[in-house]
Amino acid sequence: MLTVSNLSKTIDGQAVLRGVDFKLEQGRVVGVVGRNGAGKTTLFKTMAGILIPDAGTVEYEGQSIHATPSKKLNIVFIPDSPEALFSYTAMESALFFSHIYPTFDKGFFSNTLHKLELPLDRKIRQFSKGMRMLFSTVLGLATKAPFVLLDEPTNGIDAIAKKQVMTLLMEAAEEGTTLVISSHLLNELERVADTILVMKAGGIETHDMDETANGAVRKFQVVFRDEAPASWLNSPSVRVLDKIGRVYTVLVDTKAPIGALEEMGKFDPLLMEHLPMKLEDLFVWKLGGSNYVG
Amino acid sequence: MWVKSLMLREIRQARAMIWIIPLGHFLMLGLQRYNEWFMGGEDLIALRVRFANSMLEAYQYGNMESNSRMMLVLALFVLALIQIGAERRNGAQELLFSFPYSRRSIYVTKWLFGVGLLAGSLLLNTLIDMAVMASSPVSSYFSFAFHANEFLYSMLTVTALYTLALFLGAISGSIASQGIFSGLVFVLPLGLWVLIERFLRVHDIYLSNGRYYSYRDQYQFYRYFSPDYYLFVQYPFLSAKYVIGMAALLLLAGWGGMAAYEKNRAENNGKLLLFPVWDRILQVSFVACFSLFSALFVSEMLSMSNELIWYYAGLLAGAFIGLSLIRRLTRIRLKI
Amino acid sequence: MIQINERSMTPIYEQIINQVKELIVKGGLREGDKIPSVRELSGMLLINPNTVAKSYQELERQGVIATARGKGAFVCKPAASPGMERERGEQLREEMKRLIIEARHLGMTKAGFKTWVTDEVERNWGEQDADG
Repeated sequence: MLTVSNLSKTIDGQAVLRGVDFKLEQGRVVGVVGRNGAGKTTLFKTMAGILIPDAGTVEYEGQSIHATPSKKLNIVFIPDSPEALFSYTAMESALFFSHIYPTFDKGFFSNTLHKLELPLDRKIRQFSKGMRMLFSTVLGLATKAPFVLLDEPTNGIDAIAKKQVMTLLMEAAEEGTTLVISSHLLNELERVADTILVMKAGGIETHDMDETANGAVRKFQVVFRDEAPASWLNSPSVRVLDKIGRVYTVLVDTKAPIGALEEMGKFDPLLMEHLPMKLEDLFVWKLGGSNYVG
Repeated sequence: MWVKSLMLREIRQARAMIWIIPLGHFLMLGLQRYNEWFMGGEDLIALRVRFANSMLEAYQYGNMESNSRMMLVLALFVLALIQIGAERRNGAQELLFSFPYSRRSIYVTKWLFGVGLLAGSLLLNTLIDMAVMASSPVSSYFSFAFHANEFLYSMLTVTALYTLALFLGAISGSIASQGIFSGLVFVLPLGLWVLIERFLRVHDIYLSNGRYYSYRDQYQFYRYFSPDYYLFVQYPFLSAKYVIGMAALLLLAGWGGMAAYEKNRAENNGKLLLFPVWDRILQVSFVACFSLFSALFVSEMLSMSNELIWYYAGLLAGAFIGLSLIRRLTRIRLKI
Repeated sequence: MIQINERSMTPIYEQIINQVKELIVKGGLREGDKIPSVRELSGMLLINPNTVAKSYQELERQGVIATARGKGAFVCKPAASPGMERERGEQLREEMKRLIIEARHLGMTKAGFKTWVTDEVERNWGEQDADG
């Protein structure tokens, strides 16, 4: 269990992390989403022990990884570029890591690289971007650490390499490794994640993926009889995603005390269709800008 | 305290130094000794032998050892750049910090590597030197005590200065600023003294009689902060004051470096100083020195007429230029 | 073999269940055939393995597949578990009732609906009837 409590970090005068709280259990696939610059990388680096927090703790099984560095054996951070290993070959990197992480699985590493047709004896500097990402991912997974943090693992790589990376990750997840993946590719995350952490204004909200499917917030397509009720559209429990002609696509918070859903029914609309809610919609709901102006 | 896997990495990282340092050391010591007593033809050698009438003269007062010390210090400053400065820019430091080791162990491992390399080179080259001396025409003056004392003194002084170099690495934000601060170590004591001396002189307060290198002047306490004061010491003058000075440096720089590295704020990599709190002080110091320097320069160029006026002219010009320079420099967050 | 439709209202784990059943009906999977392991399927479809595991558990509960430790998952004989059969039969009946109500709401005629049913049966019933 990885527990982040009240984590705060200010960089260059900006409070990037403000009292971040969440718990991660073993065996989950966690997606981290947020606007660009929201602090995802800062969060990951602090969790990995690279950055020292101004306040708060990151605890593995109850022990702070900053106070007890040996606990970092259980957390591996895979950055978007393996710069530090450019002068190493793949095999040398594996050897190096195997000295650091006693649980490193050299067999898995070489077998997987072989399967992916990546050379063991060429310097990482000479790899293409996709190859580098594959290499980093395999290296990180080979440590067999229970928590693996991946910062935009499929960013900027071709479709084939992307699929290979994701397959590797799913196989690791099946073995019980907890993956924490930050990504902008919401449709990808949606399929693989069971928990979503939404980063907003320096804080984190935890969402269970089951929620988006049949949870509090629901997505509808509505066509009203007469004029669209501007007050209802602008209420805080309603968010307009789209408007084509007279068809509104809206998100409605059904658990809010105001009873926006019932109100919608009362308008007796011509059309009211329940649509599946996607991660993208959750993203817009939580992180979008100001309300719809009709 | 130190970690084997990290040590292997340090070795790999600085593998060029493992042969460059002993080789350079050899060129300054063993080779020079050999040159002195075996090269140049029989007549020249005989001449030299004739003038070597004591142990000190045979060993040339320890000058070769002094030169070697300087070379070692320079090489180890470069090593410190490789060990810390370079890591800031290629992501290696971040990787290290994600590993399950304390910052302290990482730092100690680095230090031990440098010190180990130094000890190895000193041992190897002292043995070579001893062999050369023992088989030379002046072998009758061979002194084990000489070699041993020089070995110990070199070990202390170079280690102390290397520790300082690592400390500078720990507080600098980039390899460039680490390089600059390292250079300042050699230049600043004398440089500051020259600037201050001129400032006072222009106001009719005399600190010296104009000859900068007279060691009898009582105000030349800048010397105590100059590395060469400790490095270039002839054998008969080796005494406790040097040892104490260097030991103090070793302890202070060691403790300071470790503390700084533990608190290392990796998010500031690329900036001038790792602890931006000191930025303001640094900027002010830079402008002050730059002004004093330009004042010195101008008044030196136009020393004919009214020295004071020109001095102040130079001071103001320097302040102005210095300010604009520093503003430009701090705006570019050098990712180097 | 299995395609997940992200746009659908049906949750992913249900889609997997349905498609496995569909494959069996259409003959793509026969009794005794080995289906991909949870690991393999989650890697192929890029779906959270817990979701796949959930589907497999349900399929096993319904008697559609059976897992053998260390050997993998296999398609079962259709009549392997009669209790399950009955439950599914009841559910199917309920669903038929729902469809009929829906068709009426749409304004279909009884004959029209029956034609629909016949058409679909012709198209989708598959080659072999279940035993018994």
